[in-house]
Amino acid sequence: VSQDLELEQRLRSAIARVSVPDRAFRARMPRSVLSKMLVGGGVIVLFVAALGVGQLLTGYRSGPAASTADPSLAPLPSTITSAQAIASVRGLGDPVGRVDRIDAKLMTLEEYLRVAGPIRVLPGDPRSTDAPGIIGFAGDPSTRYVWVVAVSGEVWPQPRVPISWGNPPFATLSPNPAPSPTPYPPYRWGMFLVDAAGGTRLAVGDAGIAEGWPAVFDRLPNHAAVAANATPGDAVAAAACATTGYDGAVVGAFRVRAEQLAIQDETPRGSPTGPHPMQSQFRAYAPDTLIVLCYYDGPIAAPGGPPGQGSTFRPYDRYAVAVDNTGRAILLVAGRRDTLTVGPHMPGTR
Amino acid sequence: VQLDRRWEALYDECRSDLYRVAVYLLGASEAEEVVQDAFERAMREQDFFDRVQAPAAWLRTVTVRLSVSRLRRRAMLERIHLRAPERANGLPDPELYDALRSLPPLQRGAIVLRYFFGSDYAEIARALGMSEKSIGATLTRARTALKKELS
Repeated sequence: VSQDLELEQRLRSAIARVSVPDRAFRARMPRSVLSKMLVGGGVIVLFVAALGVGQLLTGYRSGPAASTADPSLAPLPSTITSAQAIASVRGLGDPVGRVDRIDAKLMTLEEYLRVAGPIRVLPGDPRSTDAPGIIGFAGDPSTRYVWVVAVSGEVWPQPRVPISWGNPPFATLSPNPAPSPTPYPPYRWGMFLVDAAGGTRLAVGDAGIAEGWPAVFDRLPNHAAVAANATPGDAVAAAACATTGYDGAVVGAFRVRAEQLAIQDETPRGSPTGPHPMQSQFRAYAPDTLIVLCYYDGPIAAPGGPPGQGSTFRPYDRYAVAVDNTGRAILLVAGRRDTLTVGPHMPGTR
Repeated sequence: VQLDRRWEALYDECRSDLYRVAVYLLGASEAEEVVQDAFERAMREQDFFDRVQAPAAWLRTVTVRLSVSRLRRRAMLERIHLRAPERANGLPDPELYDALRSLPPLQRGAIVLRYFFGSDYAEIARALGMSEKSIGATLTRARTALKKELS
């Protein structure tokens, strides 16, 4: 106890002997405007930094496709690459909002339907029951090649905006109600089918809100794509010709530069004064754009409608179709096998 | 700024002791800042003189709490060698100061409140965020350690 008392005395004495500098009472002023600005600036810097980090993470998650092709599967022809298929979906605008993750796989339509099921008609509201009906495609699904592009984030299979009520698009009739945005929330994921021959979007295969990423996508096969530098007449062109919707037998498939086609198209037919277009439709493409020329043998209606009563019209049995780089099929000419030569040139010019 | 005269009176009454204790807890470099902080907190309290029955006790509680908080931060900085330990530097009884410095922050705060201010266990518990029951043991450990350091 005495030691404790001694310690107490010693402490009290030591503290009491600390010299105290003379300071008059002075109220600290409120925080200066400068310090408030510094705090505000700090908050802004942190906010911008957080945005940057968010962008970085978003970019990382929605980066290039992660899927690799299965080497045990036969390669399939495709006029577009995986990156182009992804870019075409990412750039859709209204059906695709925020992209958290995106990936693509190449397969036959038959493989897709076998694993993922039929292509359903999706309602605008993801919370509602399925719309009745399924979407089908013409042709043999085993020879129809598609890129399946899965997106997680925000997907509107029926586009967000605009929903035009009443008049068709571009109509100027009045009254023409203004387009209105969809009242429905987005789906959390969607699988888009992109035509491997040309790159057009065929349909939204499926979409949902129950999961953050379509588990079914991970079960889909992934074929390697045939090299893009294939020569004219190769499987790439043949694949494009198989998907135009024309049902004749493909007897020729070539890829030709748009400029070459345009020059041939603008050359007079038959004689120096023969008919020819002043400006070929292929001038609308960049000169080096590859156009697929498809020749088909099979019946096709003659232009101008059915032949007159009593005429001796011989039906056309060969025709040529061009497939451009967007997948659009353009009927170029219809004729007969004995006069319409198959080759990598503008049909009807040789 | 028009100030209540009671602040000036409280300042004159308490400031020296608060400063001395802060010096013995923290060293001279931070003592004045801690005392200033304690007064600033008091002035931010709405109707301080109406609501606080013992303003001096309130101030010493806050001063010791702020000091202990700084001591904890400092201990961490000293552990990772970002800060050199505080020296006695002309303080009275440097041996006692060094012995006190060897105590953990809570024990240092408890012993100063008890021996210098004569605070009861309840006040020490409030100041240090401890239970009242643990104050006795804390003081015993602090005394034992101090005696050992001083012997």
